[in-house]
Amino acid sequence: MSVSKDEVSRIAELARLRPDERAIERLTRELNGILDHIQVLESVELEEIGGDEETSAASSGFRPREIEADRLGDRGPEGMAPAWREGFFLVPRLPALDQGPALDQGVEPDSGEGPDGAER
Amino acid sequence: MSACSEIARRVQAGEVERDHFVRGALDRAREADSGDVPLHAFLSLETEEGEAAEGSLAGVPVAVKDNICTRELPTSCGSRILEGYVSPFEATVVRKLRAAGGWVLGKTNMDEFAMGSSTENSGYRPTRNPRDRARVPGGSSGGSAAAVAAGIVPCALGSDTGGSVRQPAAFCGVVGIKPTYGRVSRYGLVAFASSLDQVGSLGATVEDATRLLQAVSGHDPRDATSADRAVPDWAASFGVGVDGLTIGVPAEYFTEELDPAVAEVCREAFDRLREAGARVREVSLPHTRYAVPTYYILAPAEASSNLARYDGVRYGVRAPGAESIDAVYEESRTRGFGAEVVRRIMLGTFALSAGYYDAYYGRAQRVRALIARDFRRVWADGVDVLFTPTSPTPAFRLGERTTDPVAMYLSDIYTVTANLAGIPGISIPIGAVEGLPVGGQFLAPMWDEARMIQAAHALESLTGAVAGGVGDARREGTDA
Repeated sequence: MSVSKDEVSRIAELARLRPDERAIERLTRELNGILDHIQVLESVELEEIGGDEETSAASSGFRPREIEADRLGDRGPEGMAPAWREGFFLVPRLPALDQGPALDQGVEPDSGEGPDGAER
Repeated sequence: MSACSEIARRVQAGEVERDHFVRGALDRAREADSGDVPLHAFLSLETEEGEAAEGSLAGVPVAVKDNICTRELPTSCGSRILEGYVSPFEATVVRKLRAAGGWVLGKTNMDEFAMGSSTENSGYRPTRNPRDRARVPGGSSGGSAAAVAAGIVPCALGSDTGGSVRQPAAFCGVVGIKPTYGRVSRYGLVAFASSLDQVGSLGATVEDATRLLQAVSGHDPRDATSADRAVPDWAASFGVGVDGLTIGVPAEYFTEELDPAVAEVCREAFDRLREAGARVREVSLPHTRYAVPTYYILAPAEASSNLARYDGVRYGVRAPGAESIDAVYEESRTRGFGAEVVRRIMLGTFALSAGYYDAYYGRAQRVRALIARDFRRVWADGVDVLFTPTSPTPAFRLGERTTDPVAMYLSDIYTVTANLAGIPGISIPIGAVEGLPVGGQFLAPMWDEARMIQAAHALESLTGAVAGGVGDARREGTDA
């Protein structure tokens, strides 16, 4: 099994990455080297596996379905983000949406009055 | 007496101030980074105070790997994409070590998101091996191993997904323990490959590493994979010896990949174990050769999913000027992740993609089951613990393997099996080749760390290869 440059570009798109042409060439070469190494798995006899053996050797426990108190403790969500208003985190505005002020361009996050057009 | 025990005793007896040894450690860490070839074991060097004045780690400075969340110090995972990130919560292991009186002494360097075997994949700078600064300390917990080997701290926390505690311990000549999967909470350990990740401990001696592991082990309702079972007192394993113990030596770990000089050091260790009363016999783990290929499908697959959260919106790096939300994601990730992380995300995405899932991910999961079965058969056949080399070679030179990913991956050939099977492993120094430390590894059945620690403690006494440190973690603060 080997992958082509086009396939590597497609994988990058799925992985939300944007490698340039040179990086795609390098990744194609490297991924093919790794896939060559992995190919040995095709020769493994897989009969006689099933039931509990099919899953990981480690077992996970289940805890009772209980709703627990908010664990965010003394800080609350507003203490964990640069900006918070009316129950929402404020994040920088995308230039594509309009020419309104972006949050990181001088808007006071805790002014009480949210930045005009700030994305929620 | 181990450094941890001695420090805790002196602090609790009131012989010295609570931060006496912590100040000494800070001095040594700064000293290690001065000079022409800095060690660079730490990414941040501040302290977080112990909560308790008493406890098994009272006043002990503990270095913490940078993928374990602390509330005051940054947690970057060695990645530019998390540069400056400070977690709003504290990992359970950090809470526990501080409850036992331990102090966090900085966050240690690592391969980005724990992906690597040399700490050269750090997004910031490589760490060097204190034994020979032209060489790597191993990885991914290279900063933690270097901090212990340099005598800055007596013990440190790391994480082990495919050998990332044990292999750097071997390269630096210290002790590294990966406990059974589920023994230690992963709450607050930044996820890489969740079915393989475990927090582990490093120490100058078996006792130091064990005492730290003891303090952080146990059930945690915040981690669904944390096991609700009692943690034995592992100190009871010290000094028991190996008389009557059956030690298996897997033939598949002594093949052509193994440096003959390392094999010779291992043979000397078998002889010592035999002389001390252990029954040493050859066993077979027939699927061992498939472990690295299996690991390099499963771990990247899990990583590609776990690392999807780094999108430029919620944490760290955000590409400036990106016009659309897709561009924010793609440009932030491309800019923030290093080459190895990109490689693994790509590999994992491929293995999970439509048309390839069954052939790669599905098949690898089934081979993983066979690898775990190999171990169960050996235990059922009366073997108490296995003994193997930790790594096929001693520490290699910086830059020696950076251009060949597969050569780098083969550094983990003897350690990944324990992660795939969920079993515990410990690496201890057993000798040296041309002045470079060689590590030997004991593996044990799930939940039987006690037996493994017993064997490791005995071999440590027999070989006298306790590397201690280049410095001495018991040295005191300059202003004390």
